[in-house]
Amino acid sequence: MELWTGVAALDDLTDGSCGPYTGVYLGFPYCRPYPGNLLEAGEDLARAVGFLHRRGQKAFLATPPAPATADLAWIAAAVGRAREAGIDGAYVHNLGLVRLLSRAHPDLPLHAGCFANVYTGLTAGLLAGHGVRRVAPHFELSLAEMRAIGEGTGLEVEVLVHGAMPLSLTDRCHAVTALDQECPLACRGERWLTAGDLRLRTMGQALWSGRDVCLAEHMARLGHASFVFRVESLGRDGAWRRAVGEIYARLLAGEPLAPAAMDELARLAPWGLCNGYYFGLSGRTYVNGRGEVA
Amino acid sequence: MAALLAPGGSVAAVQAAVAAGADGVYCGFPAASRAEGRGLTRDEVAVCLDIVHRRGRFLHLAANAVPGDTASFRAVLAGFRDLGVDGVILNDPGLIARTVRDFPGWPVYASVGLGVSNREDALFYAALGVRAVVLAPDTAREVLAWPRDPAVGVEVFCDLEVEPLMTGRCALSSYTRPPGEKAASVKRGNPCRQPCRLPWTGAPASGSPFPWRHHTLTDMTPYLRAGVSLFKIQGRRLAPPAVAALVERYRRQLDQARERIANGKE
Repeated sequence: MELWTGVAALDDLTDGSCGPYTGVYLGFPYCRPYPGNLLEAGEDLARAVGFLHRRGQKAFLATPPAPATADLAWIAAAVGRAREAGIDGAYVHNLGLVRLLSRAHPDLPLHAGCFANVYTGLTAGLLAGHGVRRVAPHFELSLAEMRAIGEGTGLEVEVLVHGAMPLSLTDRCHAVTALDQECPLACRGERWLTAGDLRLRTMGQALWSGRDVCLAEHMARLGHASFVFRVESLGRDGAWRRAVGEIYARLLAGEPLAPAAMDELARLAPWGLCNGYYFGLSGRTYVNGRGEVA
Repeated sequence: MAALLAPGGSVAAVQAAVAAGADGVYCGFPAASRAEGRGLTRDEVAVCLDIVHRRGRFLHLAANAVPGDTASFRAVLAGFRDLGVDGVILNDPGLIARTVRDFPGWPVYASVGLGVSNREDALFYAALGVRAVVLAPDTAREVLAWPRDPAVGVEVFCDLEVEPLMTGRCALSSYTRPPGEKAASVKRGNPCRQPCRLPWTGAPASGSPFPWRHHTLTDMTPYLRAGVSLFKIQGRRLAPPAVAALVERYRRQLDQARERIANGKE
């Protein structure tokens, strides 16, 4: 069973933090000028692909979720350069990009991301006809619905097992808008919005859940032929990426969840854990291994 | 010729819209529509169809809630098609493709909730067979630079409360619901709790981090020249007098824009 993650820049790979993962989505799709963004990093991208391939890992390019017409040309060029660098495929949220890339690169595997808004098996099946081989159904879908999509289409289904969810998109980086200045590199730190007990993180054009999704207590029962798993590590440091990846890699190898590992996951989530969507509940709900709302 | 589409949140609103000069109305149905306002019953839709058709106008069904059971949803759509609804607005790409296939010749429109953000997006839906895509204001402005293409129908809003977060790409409502409650996805037809309106800290001193804004078109002429086929007024929760006032305003504007183009003044 595969475990994937995403990194923004070359440093995020060469620190060794991606060791536990089967594949890596390269690039920060929520902000084009993100420092070192592998989406357009030329030589860094080639190094990143080589680094992963030497370790037997897959490398996909992560494309922006809601490009305007003016963005299509540079994204298409970025994918072209990535192909020359040996990329294995592209992660695409936008259906216009699916159309464009499936025509320009009919043999390039495409994975449809969460902002492709795959809510139905009909949509997943439609995308399969456009070269998409894996879909990340929207987070709002339950595990049962995700299984049904996999069974009905034969596609791989990506399940976010740990990390923050990108819940919404803005048309401009929120930090730029809020601070009314040129790129403040605020995303390199942590920028939070709070309202009562609600917390959201802003990073690029996305608003992220304050709580981290966590399915560690459910992994033993999660196995489904179509599922592949993702840890969202954009905006996290290498220590976090490695620690979380190692825990889930052990779970995928069939090891039981050790109490110390669960404690570590909780410690790494300062604003708490959640997985409610997977059980038909609000996104910030956490359902523990006994099926109880914690 | 471009049309003016008004919100039909009630039978009275439909009557007011038609009397004020709307070319068409769009109505929701509770089981199939995002609950922006009340939806109409099937009988009310039938009454509205009589109202619009007697005046040579049209009615589109806003079936923009993504169903969990697509098979039974198909039966719902079949019922409205058989009733005489002139077209349907859908919010799921797969459902669009299936509806175009199952009901050949029945116009299908790609909802603004699909978040079409570029021309390739529009072409994607055109290839599925939609009559037109409905665009949010920022993307609608792009249309002015698109090459005219009769295969790509475009509809834009002339009056709209613009959400601060990208249309069709926001799950804040279902995420922020209290722990233990049902998810109640907005995409699936549940009301949006609008958590973006909460008093978020970490915001700029100037106000909310998620400012809403009101979008109005003051000149339809460039959009007409760009080939926009329909101008849409948001507001199925509006009372009939408000609907009538908006229709009158934009009717005047549309007719003036047509006249300018016809007389070569633009």
